[in-house]
Amino acid sequence: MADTDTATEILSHARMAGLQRFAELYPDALIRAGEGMARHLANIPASDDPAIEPATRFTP
Amino acid sequence: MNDATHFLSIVEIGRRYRSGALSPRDYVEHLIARVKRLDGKLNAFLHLDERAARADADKAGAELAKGHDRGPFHGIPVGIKDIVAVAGDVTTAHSRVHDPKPETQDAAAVAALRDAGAFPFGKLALHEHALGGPAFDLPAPSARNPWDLSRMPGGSSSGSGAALAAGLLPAAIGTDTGGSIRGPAGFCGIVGLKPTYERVSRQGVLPLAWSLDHIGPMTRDVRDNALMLNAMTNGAEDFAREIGQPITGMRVAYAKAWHTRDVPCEPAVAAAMDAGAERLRRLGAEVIEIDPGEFAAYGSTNWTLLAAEAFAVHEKVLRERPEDYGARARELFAAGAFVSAADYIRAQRARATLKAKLDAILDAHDALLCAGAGLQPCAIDDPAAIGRLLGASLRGAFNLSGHPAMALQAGFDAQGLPLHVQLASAANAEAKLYRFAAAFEAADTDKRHPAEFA
Repeated sequence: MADTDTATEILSHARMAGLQRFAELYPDALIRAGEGMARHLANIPASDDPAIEPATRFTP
Repeated sequence: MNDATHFLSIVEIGRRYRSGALSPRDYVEHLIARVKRLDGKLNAFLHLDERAARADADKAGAELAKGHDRGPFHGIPVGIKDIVAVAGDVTTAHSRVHDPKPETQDAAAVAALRDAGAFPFGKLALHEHALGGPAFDLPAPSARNPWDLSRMPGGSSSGSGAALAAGLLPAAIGTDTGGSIRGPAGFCGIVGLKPTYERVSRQGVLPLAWSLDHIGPMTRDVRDNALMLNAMTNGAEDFAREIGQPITGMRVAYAKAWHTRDVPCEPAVAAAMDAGAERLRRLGAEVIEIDPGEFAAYGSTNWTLLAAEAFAVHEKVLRERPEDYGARARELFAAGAFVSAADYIRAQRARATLKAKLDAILDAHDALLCAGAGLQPCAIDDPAAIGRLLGASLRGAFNLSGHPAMALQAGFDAQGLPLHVQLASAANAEAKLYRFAAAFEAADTDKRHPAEFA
């Protein structure tokens, strides 16, 4: 479970994203979601290759 | 009617239609009776319009009697995952959130199946909005695994997988954004293909994540699956054309490290994977162990894109009435609030790199073999175990890359649950994938069905 500072930060972020009602009703769910997402974001491999364009429409 | 009629292949049903041994109406009546008798414990169906199914069956029967033959799917009832539009039916997404008004037109995939002579046979259960997972706080109960009713059937196309394995229908439409066709196919012991991205139109399907959503066929055998893809794509290509050809000398990349190194893995799954590789060797293929890199990079990049895109779909409802979602879906959809625009772009850049890695492997090999998940399906009422199971999935890499990928049964574990392998191929090489899958399937001698639904 997140420490108090992390939990406060996650809920603050969620409120800024417009989830005030969500944060009021389900704070624990938001904290778990925020913590889980942080772990996934840390796994995304970095790429410094300027040739890679961030496609917004993907074509296989 | 013979009791085993409900487990016949679509090819065999068609043969009986054309010989006069079976009519579409009799077949549909048989299935309706089974749904009424058995679905109360399976929960695969959210809704079945019996009158429409009977009318469609009669129409198909009359056309066939007149010699107007639309091909292998003529007169075949197809279950529809309930995020796919069927004209006149409500699309619920197994949720309280979606506006429950009747659709005015079919989804493109449904329309294509109708053109091939097939017709809708029920709206099928799913995880809430194709993401939530089994839950007990939704307006309808979650589908269960016909091999063990205390367990989850995989998802999100849970009703599709369960109904097929239980012999309640011969084909179903699934959708797959992180493994939602292949999961229930694997855990229910049927065949599920996630085709190449955009191979099947997404028009008329509620989005989960636009750049990762795939629509595909779910059936009980490989040939039926290829024929269904033919129908879903308006016959643009014959995907069954390589079935029956040998795989001697063909090269299979085996990503063994994904299940042995990167996710929790049960011994039965590891043994099934090695046995699957050995089966391909016995069939004459050259199986070469490769390492595409740690799976976490693929899985987390896929989840980041999925979470961000899904949040964009659901943002308004999450802000205004989050209580309308089940608890599991609500928490999963909220994750997208924590993905910044920069994170999303970073994930798209990583996606290109990861796709290139898989492209290189699939350029040098004819197919890629890997596990679908390291764990077998868990109890449907154990949220912690469901979380662990989702974390052991190895399917999202191919949503990220857009490559076609398939779940195929590969024996049974000690509890009698089906095991499965995952096979992938280069983009647009579904015909070759079916060639491997058919050879793999033909070498399987254990063709049992779930005891409670036999």
